[in-house]
Amino acid sequence: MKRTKFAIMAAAILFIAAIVGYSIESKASVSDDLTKKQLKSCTVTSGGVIIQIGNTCDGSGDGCKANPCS
Amino acid sequence: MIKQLYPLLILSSLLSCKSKNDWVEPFKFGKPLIEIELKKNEKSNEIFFNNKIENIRLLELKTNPKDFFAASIDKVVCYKNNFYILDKHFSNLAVFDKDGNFIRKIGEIGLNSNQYRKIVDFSIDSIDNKLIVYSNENRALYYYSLDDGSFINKAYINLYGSDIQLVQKDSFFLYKNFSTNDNGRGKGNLYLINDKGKIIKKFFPFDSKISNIYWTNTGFLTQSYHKTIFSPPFNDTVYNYSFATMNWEPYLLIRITSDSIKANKDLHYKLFASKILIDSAASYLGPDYCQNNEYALFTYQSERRIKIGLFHFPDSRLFVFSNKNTEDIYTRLISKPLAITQDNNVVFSLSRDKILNLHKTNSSLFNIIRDANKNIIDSVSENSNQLILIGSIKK
Repeated sequence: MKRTKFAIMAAAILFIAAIVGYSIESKASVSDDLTKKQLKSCTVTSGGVIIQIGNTCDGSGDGCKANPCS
Repeated sequence: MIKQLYPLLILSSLLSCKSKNDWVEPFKFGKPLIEIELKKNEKSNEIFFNNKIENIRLLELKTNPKDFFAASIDKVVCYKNNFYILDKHFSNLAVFDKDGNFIRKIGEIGLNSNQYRKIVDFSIDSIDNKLIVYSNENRALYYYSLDDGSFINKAYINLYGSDIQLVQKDSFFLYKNFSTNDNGRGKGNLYLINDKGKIIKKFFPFDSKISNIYWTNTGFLTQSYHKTIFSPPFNDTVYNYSFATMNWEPYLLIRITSDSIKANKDLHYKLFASKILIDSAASYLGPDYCQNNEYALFTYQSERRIKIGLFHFPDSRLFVFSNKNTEDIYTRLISKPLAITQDNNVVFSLSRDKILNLHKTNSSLFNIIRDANKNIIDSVSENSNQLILIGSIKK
């Protein structure tokens, strides 16, 4: 009887943990923004010396920082 | 009672396995075969470019602007005596013969279904005689015939990335470069995919919360002489894909990453926003790597300069080209290594503007270059600001 109770408890915990894990995973997927712009690193040199590692935007629109490498 | 729980147990184990089955841990195969102590011997290995590279010649891309206009030369593949040249800036891809004569353009930018939006990379399929263009603007692959450059078909992979490499028929490596834009399909920095974009395996996991920065100054996916090579950003290890184990194996260890970068390499915004990357003590492997059976040619950053390393495998000997030496004309002019051929010819991109600028700053050095390449330097061409430098490695 004790063993059965333990098995039920263990199965319930496992089931709840799996459901919670699944929801977190799903939520992470939904929260990703398809329109989010990805910054692109770029190197600015002067006389062979790197003076800046700047960024440019892969694409255009809101969220893009000024392009120091243009 | 226990029996009633079986469906529950099966369901919970199925759910807990979700999205884990395609993960591969790439770090189980022991030490890399070859080690280069780059930082330790950097100074003593410095050599002038023309003391190690001979028969230097400049190649002009002979074309007219309506056919091809190159703002930059970002990738060169030498295949069957021709150069396949990609200019990412204007999304131009064209084929030239070994003398720089224009043969044909591959596809064109546009909105029609057979026109690409933007090229980020291309790969050559020598078995099926096709060239594959990857456009991450609409996340599609465009197939062209290598015989005449004609369009064959298009396939949507619906995945963002920065580099693509054909591995075998209809399967590719896609270097995500920390792209998190695939609606939760991210979390691996390198995917093995089929031509429909189905992910077969994911490699090099990363936390999608730490970055949406696409690193162009470090990390690479490339193919050189039957080896598919990958190195993640700010990493000393160069991995080689093994068809025997179907996994990435450490191949070359180039000890270069400085402690400040090692400590912060997963904190992308910190690296990006702070001055760590341009500190004079910062050093790390760059984005350019090519090799043949004898040599590896790569870039790295050290002392706030982009330097070029040439490693000879048989002797474990390293040579360093640094633009710190003002008298080393060629190292000051070349931009990036593009290819190394089986017969030890090296290919670099070079800007005509840099040469003409040298005329203003150091006319005696300019005259040395001009005397050796008079026709090219004196000819005024509106077609391309870019030249290719070819030389042979001295024995």
